[in-house]
Amino acid sequence: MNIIRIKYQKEELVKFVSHLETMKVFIRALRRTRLKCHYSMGFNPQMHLVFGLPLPVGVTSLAEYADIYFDEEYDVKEVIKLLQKEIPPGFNVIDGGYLFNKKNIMSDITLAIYEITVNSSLTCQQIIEQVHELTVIEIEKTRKKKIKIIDIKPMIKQLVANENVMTLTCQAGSFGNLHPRLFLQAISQYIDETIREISIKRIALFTNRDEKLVTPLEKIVLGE
Amino acid sequence: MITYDQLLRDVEKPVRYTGGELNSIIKNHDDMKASFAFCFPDVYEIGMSHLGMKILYHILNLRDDTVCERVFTPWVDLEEKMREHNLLLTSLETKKPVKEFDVIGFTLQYEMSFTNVLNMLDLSDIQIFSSERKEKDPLICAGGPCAMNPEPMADFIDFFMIGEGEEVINEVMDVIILAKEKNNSRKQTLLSLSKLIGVYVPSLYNITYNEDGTIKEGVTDSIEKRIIKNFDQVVYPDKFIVPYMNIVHDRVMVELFRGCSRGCRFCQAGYIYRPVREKTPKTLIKQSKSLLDSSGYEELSLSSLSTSDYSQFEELINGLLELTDGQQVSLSLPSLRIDNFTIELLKKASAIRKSGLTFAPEAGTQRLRDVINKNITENDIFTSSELAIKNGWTNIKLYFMLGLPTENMDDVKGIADLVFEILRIYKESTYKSKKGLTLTVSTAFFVPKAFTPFQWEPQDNIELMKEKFTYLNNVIGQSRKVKYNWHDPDVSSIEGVIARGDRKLSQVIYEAYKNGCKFDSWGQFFNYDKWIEAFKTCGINPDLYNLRKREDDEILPWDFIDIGVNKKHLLKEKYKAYEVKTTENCMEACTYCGIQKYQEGICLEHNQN
Repeated sequence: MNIIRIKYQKEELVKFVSHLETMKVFIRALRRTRLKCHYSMGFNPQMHLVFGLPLPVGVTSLAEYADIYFDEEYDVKEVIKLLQKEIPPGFNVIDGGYLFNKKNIMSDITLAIYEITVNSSLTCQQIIEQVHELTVIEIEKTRKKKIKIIDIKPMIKQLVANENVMTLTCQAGSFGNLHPRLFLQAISQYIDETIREISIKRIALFTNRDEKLVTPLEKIVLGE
Repeated sequence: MITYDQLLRDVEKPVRYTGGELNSIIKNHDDMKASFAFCFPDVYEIGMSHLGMKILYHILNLRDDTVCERVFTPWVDLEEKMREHNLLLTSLETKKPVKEFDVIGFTLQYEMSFTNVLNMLDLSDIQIFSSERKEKDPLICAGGPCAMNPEPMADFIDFFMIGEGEEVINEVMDVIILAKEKNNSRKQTLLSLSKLIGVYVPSLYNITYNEDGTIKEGVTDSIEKRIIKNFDQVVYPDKFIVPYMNIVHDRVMVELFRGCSRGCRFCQAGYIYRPVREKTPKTLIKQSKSLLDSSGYEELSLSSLSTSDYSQFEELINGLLELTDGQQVSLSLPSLRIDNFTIELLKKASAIRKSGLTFAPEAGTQRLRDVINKNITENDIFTSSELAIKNGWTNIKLYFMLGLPTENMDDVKGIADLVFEILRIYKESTYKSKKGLTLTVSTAFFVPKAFTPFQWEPQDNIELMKEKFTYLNNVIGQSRKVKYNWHDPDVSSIEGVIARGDRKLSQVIYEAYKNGCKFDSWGQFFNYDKWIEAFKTCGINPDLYNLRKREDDEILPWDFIDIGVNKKHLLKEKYKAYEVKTTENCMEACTYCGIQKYQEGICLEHNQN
C-alpha cells in the first residue's frame, strides 16, 4: 500500500462545502486523475481516503490534510500536480509526502489555530483581557442529542488579539475538540456582549511527537 | 448592507446557493450579446437533476455571443431572509440579479411548481403579469411538458417554446440578439419571435368564452411543436456540472431515446414526445465515456421512458460494461423489464446495480389495463415476480393509478388481489430471505392530461378518491409485508384543475400565490384551503375543470397546439378505451396517429418496411 498525505487549502468560494461533500470532491477529482486509488473489497467498494479534523461549514482553511491510499507507487509531486488540475476552483492542493507511519491523520491531530474575525462593541484586546481573567468557561454542548456542560477554559491554549481578529490556539481532535463557534458563543455569554462572527479561518493543525508540536507533514510524523 | 454570504451561514444547505461547481461555466457578460437566466422553479437538488436543463445550458453556452446561468428557487429559510433584507434573486454563476438578464426561461415540469414561478419573478423584482412589464424588463419565457397546455400560465409568460427546445432556443437567441441590436421594442421583438415555429406569444390573442365558461373562440393560429431532426446527432453535453451537495439524480445520464412506442392512454409523455427516436449504441457509449471522464461520477444511468424497449439493448449494455469494467462505475437501469435475459445480464455483470424491482401495472384488472392500453398481463407480472424472488430480490415496488376512466370497485379490489398473489408466490417459492419479502404498493390518483385520449374525461372527486384509498388501506395496508402509500387527493385534485385549465386560471394561480401558496409539490407546504379561497376570490368553480366530462366537439384550451398527433386519433383511442380494445405498439404497427408526417425515428422504419 502506498499512502500519500496531502495538504490542501479551502478558500472562500468553497467554504460552505461540508466535510462529507469535501470527501466526495476529492474522490471524484482522484477518479478524474485516473491514478490507481485503492478501493475496499466487497459488494460496494469504497475509495480508501482518510481526512483530518472536519472543518466546520462556512470556515476557510490554509491547512487541511488527507491521506490517500494508492495501489501503485507514485511521485508525490506528480500526484499533487494531477490532483490540483482536477480539483474544483477554491481548493488548492499545495503539499504532500509519503506516509510510512500507520497512524492516520484523523486520529493524530491534537491542536488547531483559528483566526476569528469578529464584530463587537468591544475591541478584541478588551475581549481577550476579560477571557484571560476567567478561570472557568462553562458552556452547554449538545452531542448525540445529550446536553452536557463542559469547561472550555483548559482547551484554550493561547489567545491573541490584533484589531478585530482573535487568533485562537486550542485543543483539537478526537480527544477533545474546541469548536471555534462554541468558543465565540461561550465567551459572548461570559462577558455579556454580542460578539458576531464575520469570518473564521483555520491557519494550522498540529500533532504531538515526543511532547513537541509538529505539523502532519514533518518527517517525524510521516516516518521513513 | 447585509450580504448573501452572511445570510448563508444561517440557512439549511448553503451550498445550494454558492455555485462554483466543477464544469459550471463563467463568462464575462460584457463580451456577450445576450444573457439567459435558466430558472428551475424548485430547489437546487431537484432542478440540478433535470436533464433538460443540462442540455439547454450546454447549447446556450456553446454560443460565443450568449451566456446562460442557472437560478433555482431559494428554500423558504433563505427567502424569508432575502425579503427581510431586500436582497434580490441572483444567478449561481456570476451572482448577477435575475432582472438584469435579457431573457429569463422557466422550465415547467409539473403544474404544482407554477406558484414558484411567480415567487421567483417577485423575488427578482420583476412584474408578475406580462402586461405590466416595461420596455427594458427581461423577456420571460417558458417551456417543458407543462407548456404543452400553456394557457394557465399565459398571463405571466411573454412567450412559450413548445416542444423540444434544442433547436428553437438558438433561433430564439438569434431573434433576440438582432432585436437588441436594432433597438426593437418589446412588442416588435415578441412579434418576431412569434414567427418562429414552436413559439407562442399569448398576448397576441384574445380568448372569448361561452356563458357556461367553455371557450367560444380560442387562439386563432396553430402552434406547431418543435421536434429535433436526427436525434442521434443532436447536441448533448460532453460535461455535466458536478454539484457539491447530494442531488436527486447524482450521476451521469444518457438518453437512449425520446418518445415511447407503447401508447398508454393516460400518459401525456407517451403522446407529446412522439415519435420514438433512438440514439445509436455508438453515440451513447461515446457520450457516456466523455461524461464519466469529465465528471468522475461513479454511476451511469440510462434515461428513457421505457429502457427495455431500446432496440439495440444488448449491444449497448455490452459496450457500456466494457467501458465501465475496472473503473468502479456502476450502471443503473431504471424501468427495466425483468426476464431471463436481464437476470442473466445482472448475474454476469456485478457493475449493474441491483436496484429494487419496480412494476407499474397501473390498474388492478385486465379489463382496466386494456382500457388504458397498458399492455402488461397478470402473467407477465407473476412470472417476473417469481423470477425476481428466486434470484434474491426482496423489495418489490408496485405502482397503480386510482380513478382511471371506467374504474369500478372491482378494479380497486383487483389491486389487492394482485398484491396477495405476489405474496403467495413468495410464500410458495423455495427462496427465503432472512428479512422476508417487502412489497411497497403506491397508488396515485389519475389526473387527466391534455393531449391524451382521456383529455375529455372527468377526474374522481376527492370523496371518491378517499373512499378508494381507504378501502385499499383496510385490505392491503394491514398486512405486515405490505407498505401502502397513496398520493394526497387534495393535491391531485388541484393538479387536475390546472392541467386542463384555460387562461382564466392565471388569475387563480396569482391569487393562490398571494395567499401564500408555494412549493405546492412539497407535502409540508401544500395548502388546499388557500387554493380553494383563490378560486372563490376569482369566482371560478374548479369542478368545471376537473370533474366535468367534456364534449367531443368542445374547444379545448390547448387545441391550437399541434403536437403532431391529431385530435381524431385521440378521439378514436378514447372510444376504443370504452370498448376495452387495445391498440398496437408503434413497433408492431403504425396506427397513423399523425406523427408520421415528420418522417423521423420509428415512423421512418415503418415507411421502409
